This record gives sequence, C-alpha cells and structure tokens, in this order.
Amino acid sequence: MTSHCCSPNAISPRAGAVLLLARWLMAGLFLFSGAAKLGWLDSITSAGIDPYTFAGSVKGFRLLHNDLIPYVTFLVPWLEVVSGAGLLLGLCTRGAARVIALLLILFCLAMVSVIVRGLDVECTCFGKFLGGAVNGWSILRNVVLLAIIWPVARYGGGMLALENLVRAPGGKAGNG
Amino acid sequence: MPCCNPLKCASMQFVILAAVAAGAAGLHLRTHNQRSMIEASLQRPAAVEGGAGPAVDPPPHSSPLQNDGGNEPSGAKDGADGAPAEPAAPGPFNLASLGEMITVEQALHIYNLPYSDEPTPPTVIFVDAREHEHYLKARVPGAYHLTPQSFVNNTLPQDMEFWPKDSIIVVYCSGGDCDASHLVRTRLMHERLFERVYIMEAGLPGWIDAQLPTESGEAGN
Repeated sequence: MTSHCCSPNAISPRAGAVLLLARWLMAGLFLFSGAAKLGWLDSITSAGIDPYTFAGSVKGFRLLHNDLIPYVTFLVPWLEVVSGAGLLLGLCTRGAARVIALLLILFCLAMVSVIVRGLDVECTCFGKFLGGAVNGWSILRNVVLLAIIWPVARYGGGMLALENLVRAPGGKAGNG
Repeated sequence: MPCCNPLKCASMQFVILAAVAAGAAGLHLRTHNQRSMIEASLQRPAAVEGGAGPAVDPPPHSSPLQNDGGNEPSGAKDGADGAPAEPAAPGPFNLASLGEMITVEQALHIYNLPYSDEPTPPTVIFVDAREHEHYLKARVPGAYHLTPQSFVNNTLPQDMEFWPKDSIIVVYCSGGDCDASHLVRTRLMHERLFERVYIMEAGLPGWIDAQLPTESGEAGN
C-alpha cells in the first residue's frame, strides 16, 4: 500500500488488464476525436472535419463569447490529443484520465444547456463520426465514457503503462 | 501526505498535460493566421430559423437564365478583367453596397452581369458548397463544386488559378443554418485572396423557390 497521492492502491492483474483495456479504448477514441477536429483526418477518412466547422459547432452552443471560440476550437482537440497520447502510452495516466473526465463533464453540462434552451446544435464531438444533433443520447454516451475513464483516473493505467517503469524515490514500481 | 514524486501526482499530471495542450493550441492558433480565419468564419448572422429564406419573384427583365445564353458548363462567365461593378439590370441594385449575405434576387442580378451592356463586364462565378451528390442533382447553371473539404483535400477546380482576383463570386449551400458557404467564403477570401465573395443566404432552395432554372449531372470542372 502506498500513499493516496503518488500511486493508487495495489490492484490485481485482472484489474490491471481491465484498466489497460479502458485506457486504450479511451485513448483511441480521444486521439481520433482530437485529430478529427484538427483536420488531420481529412485525407484519411470522411469522418474528419476542419477547425472552422468545429468552431461553428462551438458557436452553435451559444455559451462562449466569439473572442473565446478560436482558443476553445484549438484547446479542446489538443487536450484530447495530448491526454489520449498519455493514456495510450501510460504516461501521466491519472492526470490524462482526469483531463478527459473534466472534458466529458463539461460537454455534458453544455449539452444539457443546449437541450434545456431548445437549441438545435450539430454534435461534432468525434468529427462526423457519431454525429447528429445533440440530444439525450449524446449525454448518455458521455456518461458511459465517464464511467469507463473514472477507474483509470482513480487507479491508474494498469498493465503496460510506461509510468510503471518509473520508481518513486524510496517507493516501489506501480502496478502492471 | 504530500506527493513524493510530482510526475506521479495526478493533480500535477493534470496541470502538466493542460499546459502542454494549451501551448500546442496556442502555437497552432498562431500558424497560418488561423485565429483570424476562424473569427472570419464566425462573422455570420445567427441561424435562420426554418431553413431557406423567402422566395423572390422572378425578375421583370429578360434573364439569360431563361434562355440558353447563360448556361455555360464552365461556370465562369468571363468578362474583361478589372471591370467596375455596375448594375446590370433595372432596379435599386448596387454591388458596392452589398454585404456578405445577399438575396436570391441580388444573386440573380450578379449572375446576369456578364450579359449586361457594359463594355467591360466582370467575371462572375457561382460556387456550390454542398455535398457532391446534391451538386449532381441540382445546382445553379454553371456553378462550380467547391466545399470546405476541397481546400483540405486539394481537390479544387482545375482552372481556379485562372479566376481573376476581382471576380464576383457567389457561394451557396442549402440555405438556413448551413455553414459550408461561410467556410468556403472564408477560405476564398483569406487563402485565395478573392475580394468580392458573397453568400446567397437562401441557398439553392431559395433559388428553386424563385422558379429559377437549375442544371444537373457532372460539370466540366
């Protein structure tokens, strides 16, 4: 057993495998999502959009001043890419999972706001993949993703996480 | 108990990742004038409820659209370069006073400019920013197909490099809350440096509602 901050409780190999699956699933999803919003997938798949389309979608939520939209347009996908890479490699895993959890919570709140106000907003959450108007299913999807990422945020990356190779001073290597 | 290793502290990791992402986003935003392009793409009126705009009455004068004279497959109706933007048809039409968004009637006036009696009529280009399948079904006669994706995939019309920079370009999509025409306009103005790019607000539905002709099938671009 180690401290609550530096590393999570010891977990079984089976739990480590589950965490690995959850980590890689979310990594793939958010790397795809971020890359799609940044226009990196345009030449690979029709699911990609460009930043201008994403900016239009952000504006459609009518939550941000226009001056902030260019920053959010690039900050959100870069957060997704950086956090997705962290999850994929198992580096800064719990921090990456928390970033994604925070994003999911913010997305949920924005979606609830859109539905409450009766706005018709196109969800470019994953580029054109899983597109369509924001509705209750969009929120449910985010809640499910939140449930998947939460154990990673709580317990770490599980098996095959590169950060497990880094030993804390005076401590032991993490799980996996 | 304080963190023994900052890199293994979840809160510290959170801060580090957020800082890295913010830095990358900032750099990305600075490249290729992205910020001004996004701001330009956002400078559009609020969404029009109910889809296409109001229909307009057919123009009183004889339009080339109502005979074979205006249906060039190339899309560009060439006039002399540098032509002044003068009204071509009767009525209170002044090109210089047009804003970003124009009505179907104004678009029709522009469409007819190359057929006016002006000695140096301008080059007028219509651009259809909708998906290709919709473009094939119906479009403004002679319109080019040019979507936001065309700029990313570099699938621009082959003769686009010959379009005069002072061409009058009218972009349309499906009307209403359709973003494609705004995105194409932004790209044309900021990347291709065209100065006179307008958006037909009602889109093709408005054009059709005005009982103006369309063409279909593959075009020559």
